Amino acid sequence: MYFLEINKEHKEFLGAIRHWENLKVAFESDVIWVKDFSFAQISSPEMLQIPYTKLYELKENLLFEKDKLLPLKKLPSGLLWTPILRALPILLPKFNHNFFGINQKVKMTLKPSENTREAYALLVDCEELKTYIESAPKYRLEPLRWIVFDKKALIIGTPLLPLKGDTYWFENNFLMPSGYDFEWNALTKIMQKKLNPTEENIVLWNTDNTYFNIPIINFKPLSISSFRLTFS
Amino acid sequence: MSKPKTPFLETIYHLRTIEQIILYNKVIAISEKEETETIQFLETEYEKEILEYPGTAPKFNPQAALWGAKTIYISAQLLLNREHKISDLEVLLSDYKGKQNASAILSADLCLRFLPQIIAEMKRVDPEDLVVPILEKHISRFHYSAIGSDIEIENIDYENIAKNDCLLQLYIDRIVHRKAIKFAQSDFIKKQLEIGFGDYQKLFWTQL
Repeated sequence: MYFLEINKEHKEFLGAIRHWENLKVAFESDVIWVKDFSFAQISSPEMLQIPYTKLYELKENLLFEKDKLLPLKKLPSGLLWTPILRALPILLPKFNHNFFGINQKVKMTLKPSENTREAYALLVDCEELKTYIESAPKYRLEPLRWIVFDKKALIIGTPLLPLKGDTYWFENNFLMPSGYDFEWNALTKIMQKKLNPTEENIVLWNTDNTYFNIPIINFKPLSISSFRLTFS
Repeated sequence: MSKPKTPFLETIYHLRTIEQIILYNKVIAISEKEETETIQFLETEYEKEILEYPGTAPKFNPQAALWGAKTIYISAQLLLNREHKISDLEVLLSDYKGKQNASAILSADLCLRFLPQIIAEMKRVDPEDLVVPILEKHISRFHYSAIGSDIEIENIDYENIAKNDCLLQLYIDRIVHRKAIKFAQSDFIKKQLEIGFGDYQKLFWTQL
């Protein structure tokens, strides 16, 4: 069982480990004690970056400095332990009443993202689709809907057809190119309300930050006859 | 209710449009003119259906379509009015005479797909009905129309099915659509199903 001792004047440095909710904190006259570290936490880089600390190990009620053989002192009695989130509250910066930048605007841009999500839509060349669909099993087409624009077919639904084309993610009625996400992801809902207040449309984003609005009712069930009638 | 001049055509028309059998009289004889009109009607129905068929659909086969329509009509008549001897039945419900290929199977299926329901109803009325084995013999030759029904078919011959890509795909589609587990037991069909499902078998058909 490990204990960390730090002087009160260096309290700010504990901010690096404040997010570990398992920790407990106690205050003595001019030092702060922290306990309940997990084994992984003890040797993590976050711990090593805190200066002015002393790390003890408790054996038989004596505090040994970490990796030393002689005990240094006893654990002071009568400490009151509280969870670290409560013991070290965050002080938010004061509201700036003299800020006049409220006319500034945020530009919504897409950026490459490291998340992986299943593709929900496929933009495919009609010629490419034709060769597949003419001999497609019916059950593969049934879950899908499609729309034609610009000599290309946009197919939505899962599982998608095994064809070469651009795939898209689906979130809040936005179709975003696979591998991309909004730079200001938290604003997605707000933008959804601005671009598509009635939720009647699907908004298709391109990688150059332009978008199309496509009414959802214009998507038709995909079937061989639907394809043939469209192009005959 | 006034009797229509063309009871056979009317019955087939209703069967194809609202999927109900309506019988207008007890007459089983069908005039030649009515036969031609029925064939024409079935051909337009076939044209509509092949829009949805994968690949190149086989040609319409008038003889097979008419045979299928007649088989349905007469078996429905026999379900209601039974004034015939068993020897007559063999003549009334004769075998399909032409060559059995993809075109015949698909054309006959226009009406024949409703036969399993009639057979089931006959069995319910009288399990030992002598008409049942005759109809079962027909449907087991045209087993594409029997997919999903409870009819026992032994030694299904897939040769005619495998010869035509369009029919083969339709056959598999119908098995999946009706979740006909009994028809998915043979190795040939299992292989075809695997090809179609790829990685998504669990998604399309969990029980298989």
